[in-house]
Amino acid sequence: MISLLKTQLMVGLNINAWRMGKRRARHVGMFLLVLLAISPSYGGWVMLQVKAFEFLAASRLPLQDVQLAGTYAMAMMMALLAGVPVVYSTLLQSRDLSILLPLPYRPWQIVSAKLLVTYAIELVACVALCTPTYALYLRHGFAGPADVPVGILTMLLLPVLPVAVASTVSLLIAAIPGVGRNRWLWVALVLSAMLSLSLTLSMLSSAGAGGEMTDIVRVRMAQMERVGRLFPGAAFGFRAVTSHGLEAWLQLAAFAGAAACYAGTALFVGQTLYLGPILSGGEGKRRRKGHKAAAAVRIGMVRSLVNKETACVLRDPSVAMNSLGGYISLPILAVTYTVMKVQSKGKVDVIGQLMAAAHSPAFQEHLPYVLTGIAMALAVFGTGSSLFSASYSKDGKRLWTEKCLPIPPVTIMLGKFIAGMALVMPLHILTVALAVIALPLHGLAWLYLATLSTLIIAYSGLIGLSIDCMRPKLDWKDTVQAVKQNLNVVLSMGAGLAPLALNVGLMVLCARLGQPAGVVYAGVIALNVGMLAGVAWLARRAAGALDRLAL
Amino acid sequence: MIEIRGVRKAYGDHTAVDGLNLEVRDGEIFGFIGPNGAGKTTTIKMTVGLLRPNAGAVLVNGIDVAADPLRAKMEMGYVPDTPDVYEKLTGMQFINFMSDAYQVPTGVRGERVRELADAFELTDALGDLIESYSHGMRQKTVLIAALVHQPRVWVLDEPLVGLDPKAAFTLKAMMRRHADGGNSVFFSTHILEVAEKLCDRVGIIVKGKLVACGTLDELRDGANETLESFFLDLIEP
Repeated sequence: MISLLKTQLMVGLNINAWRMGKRRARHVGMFLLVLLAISPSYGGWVMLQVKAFEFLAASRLPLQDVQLAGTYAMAMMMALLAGVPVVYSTLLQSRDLSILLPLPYRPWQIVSAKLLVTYAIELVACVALCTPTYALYLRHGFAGPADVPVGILTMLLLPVLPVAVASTVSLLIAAIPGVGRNRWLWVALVLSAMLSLSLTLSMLSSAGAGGEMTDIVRVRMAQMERVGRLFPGAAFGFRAVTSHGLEAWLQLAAFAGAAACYAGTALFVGQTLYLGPILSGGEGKRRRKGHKAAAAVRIGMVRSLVNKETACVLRDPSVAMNSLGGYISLPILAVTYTVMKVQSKGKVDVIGQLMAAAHSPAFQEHLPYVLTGIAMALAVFGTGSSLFSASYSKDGKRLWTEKCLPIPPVTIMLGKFIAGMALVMPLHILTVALAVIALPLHGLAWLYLATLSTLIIAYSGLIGLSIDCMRPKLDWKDTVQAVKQNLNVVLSMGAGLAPLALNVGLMVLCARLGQPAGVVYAGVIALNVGMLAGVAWLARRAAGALDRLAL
Repeated sequence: MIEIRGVRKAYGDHTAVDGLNLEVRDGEIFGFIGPNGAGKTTTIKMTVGLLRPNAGAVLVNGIDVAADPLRAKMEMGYVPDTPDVYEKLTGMQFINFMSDAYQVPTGVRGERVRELADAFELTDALGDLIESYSHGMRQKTVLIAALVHQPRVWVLDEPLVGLDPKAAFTLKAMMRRHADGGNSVFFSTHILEVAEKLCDRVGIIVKGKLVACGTLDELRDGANETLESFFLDLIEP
């Protein structure tokens, strides 16, 4: 069993990459880069905790217990949300069951080894989030050295509950007849379940709070109430870290009991619903359906490439969700906005404020600049994703097909570009249409908005494709790694900022020189057409990198 | 015809293929054998343009693969050692995609796909997603896709792995027919009995160097030994 756990952890966390000579340096470099990228947010979080404790001490508010328990509650929520895709990847996308099942292990041992990987990943996040708060709690004298073991053990047990809930929910949904392991339906159902849960809990807590939640106590208590409802038994953990002596140990024991129940349920569900159908041989029957094959008809090479790309993006939810992430976030933002507006009884109304600003005289006065800014913002929905910048990476080892076929590398890139634009444009046109309807625009302003944002998407896409063609990430276990853990996506976003900075520079220049609106419009469009031409020329050269790629 | 002239490929300090000279003639099946890590797949990948050699050249029907890759690729049909294909496409979509690349006209495409799919007993599964296929079915899909444009040169990297006995028999018969029609088949295998029965000539590669090449009679040099015992004698230190 120890060997099974060790192997799963080594594979799941890619531990060998930290040990092997050449790969270690690269891995450490990447790790440091990621650390650098998240350090401002993490530093902000730590500072927030420091300030909160200082504020509580200065104002003599006895809320340090609430602050600590609230942080633990938040860590649990975060582990739940982050745990769902990890559970899916670990359980439903793993390909090692053919190796593990014939080994002399009991099914529950295999399931627990797989869940342990998810637990280990979530534990790192929980510890990182809770440690600063707990350290401050200790430093301000609300717990002594004798309480530290309870604090640490509670922290270790913390991810058990959300990981168990995430795996149970995931497996229950995956087991629905008809849904099976159809990833699109699975993702849609899990997202709907989470959204409904969050909406229900937020409504319950706002109803229970009664008046306005203006102070930290009510906000924190409401947070913990929600988590408490979601994870019955979690309150024992909150009490364990804020109690002392024997009471703390008793609360911890109760929390450990609750965690054991959660883990037991997850293991039972895993054994029954995860391994059960595989062991009974139902999986294979469910997957093959004997569909009628498409006709053997010749179409142009570019069209064939576009069809292949589109199918590979849309039929893989992980790829599709990350490729069209900007647009998928829109309905979620809309729901969040509605919840905030309802909860605050209309006081928090971001869209209302934006609309008021759009109908002010200043909007029309600075229209060319405002429109350019809006066009850039609309383009971000299309470009802030992995659609273009992981296009080669997502092919992985299958890239041999394109490379050994008699197709010029430029045509391959063109196929990927057209497919990307074809996927983005319907959603982009929709967002532009919404913006045009909502904003007080006259004349051909809509055309400017649509043209400029499309140009930005086009050259940003080409930048992403060029970067991914030059350094594709082809070695991965599932497509989530190809599109989500891909440095090319970050690099492309960074490189895409340079052309946007040129636009901003041009607008500043026009504003200083007091140019009329027509000159600003023409200048910005000319600049962006020029940038598209320049980037296209560079992309054509970058496409040749495929020839040099060793597969 | 394939001509491999003084080809060398190194990965850092490790030389995978070292000054390899080889010729696969028209009308023959050439078996490429060697221990694991000897350089078989690297040689095949350089032949089909997946890898660039550090030195030397590969010519397919007189066309330099490095200088004119598109024309050279049109002459070949390639089956890799592992059938990694787009799982989110159906078998037919994948075959159509490959056929479009090889510019196979609609008029003949349907007939050729039908013939190959029937021969490999894959017709009923062509409408399903490749992700639902077994290893053998994926291998058959890649074979159909690689042969649909009727290439003169077949380059097959361990093509029999994963195939059921009937499909393996069918493929071997197709290879023989193809070579007898004046075309070339260049394939690697670990199954020495297959190489012995099927190949007109055999090349043995060890640590990146061609250590033996010729017909089975030439290799045996009059001795009454099997290819297996000859091969084992050769690679024993």
